Amino acid sequence: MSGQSLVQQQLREDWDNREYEQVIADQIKSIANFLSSFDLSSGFERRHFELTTKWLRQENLSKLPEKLPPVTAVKSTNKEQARTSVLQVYKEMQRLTPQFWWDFEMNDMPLPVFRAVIKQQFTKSAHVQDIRIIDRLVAETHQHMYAIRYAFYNPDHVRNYLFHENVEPKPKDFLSKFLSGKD
Amino acid sequence: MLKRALLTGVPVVRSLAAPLSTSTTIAQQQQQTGGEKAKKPTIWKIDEKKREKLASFGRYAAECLPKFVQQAQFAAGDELELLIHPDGVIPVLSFLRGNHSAQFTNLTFITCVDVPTRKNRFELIYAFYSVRFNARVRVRTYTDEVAPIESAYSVFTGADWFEREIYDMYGVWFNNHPDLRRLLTDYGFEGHPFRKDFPLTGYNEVRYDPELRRVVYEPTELAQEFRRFDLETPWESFPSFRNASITSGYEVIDLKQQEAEKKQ
Repeated sequence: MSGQSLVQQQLREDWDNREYEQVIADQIKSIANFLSSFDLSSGFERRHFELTTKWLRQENLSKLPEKLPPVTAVKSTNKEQARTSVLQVYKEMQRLTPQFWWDFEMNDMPLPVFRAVIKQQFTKSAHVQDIRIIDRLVAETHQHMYAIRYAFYNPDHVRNYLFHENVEPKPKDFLSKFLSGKD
Repeated sequence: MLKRALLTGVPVVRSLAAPLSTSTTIAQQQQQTGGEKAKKPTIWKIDEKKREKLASFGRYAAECLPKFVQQAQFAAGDELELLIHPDGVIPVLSFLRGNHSAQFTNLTFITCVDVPTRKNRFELIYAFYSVRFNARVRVRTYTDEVAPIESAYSVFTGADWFEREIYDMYGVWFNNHPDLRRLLTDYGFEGHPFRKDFPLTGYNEVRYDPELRRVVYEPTELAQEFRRFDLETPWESFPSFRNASITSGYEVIDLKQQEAEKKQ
């Protein structure tokens, strides 16, 4: 009789322990979830601003269309048309580049290097699929060229915009984040 | 019909819409009350005749542009609002400006409201004034971050800077605008300050960098405690409207009413 009750007691204790462990594990899991979400919410936006320069926050925008209902295109009606308009504006930009390079005192680097920098601004948005966003990027590029021609921008604007030399790249993996002491 | 009208000089009446003229009604009312001088009301007195005329004009506009006008309503008692589809900006605006019984030739302002919880988060509001009829109307439409709106520049040249401002502050893109660039912020600026998700402290700070010898933008470094803002008032602002819906101030005009009257 006493042996049976002993076994029962042991069983109950074992069960209690398991439950306790389960609770602890759940709590750890929730803490981990919270931490990772916090990291995302605090670090994500700022990294965003750094990664994308002004040609638009493409990542954000390229995510949007999934949620949105299909709408009528306003400028380009199909992908081919959008692509043509991008190529046109790219060529126009490259034609403008020598004058741009000279007028904005970018002579500290050779012209081909500067051309490559300009090209990079275009290839950066290569992943954009939505026609409306492509149209908008094209329109903004036209606006940029207008501002360059009429010297609305200063050389400082252009350098900040294209190079970001003053901004250190964000630490990406956990260890370097930890060592830099930033989130 | 037209020919006969031209010959006899009788104007062709195309619609039953009453002219909007409201300038005399209050004066008439005062005359009717006689010599005894009515006390000046300390609150805005809604002119019922004017309201009725505006309502019939709203119905007329909805009848003329059934494809675009989705709803006509009164805000704050007697302010007419037309809620339209974003495709119809140009047709509705040119109707309001050009129609003989409207003549809203004066663009008072264009502005935008950001409501991030909506599917189309930006609401554009155009306000017009008709000098001829002393009447005002607001046109409201909607868009999101991606969908462009047709620029009103072709109808109202004064829309130029209003739209630049909206582009700058909210990032709404206007198609066929002659010169859509930032108006209030700097050329190197990133983001759109009036968006509800724009941070109060900003992400970038500006300083002079002696090494680069120019002004640079840098990510703000702030301790977490300085980022905490609780800007809400500790008192309840409008306790009597605690349970009121945000749209309860609007009175929707029944667009079918006139048709029913016609049939009778």
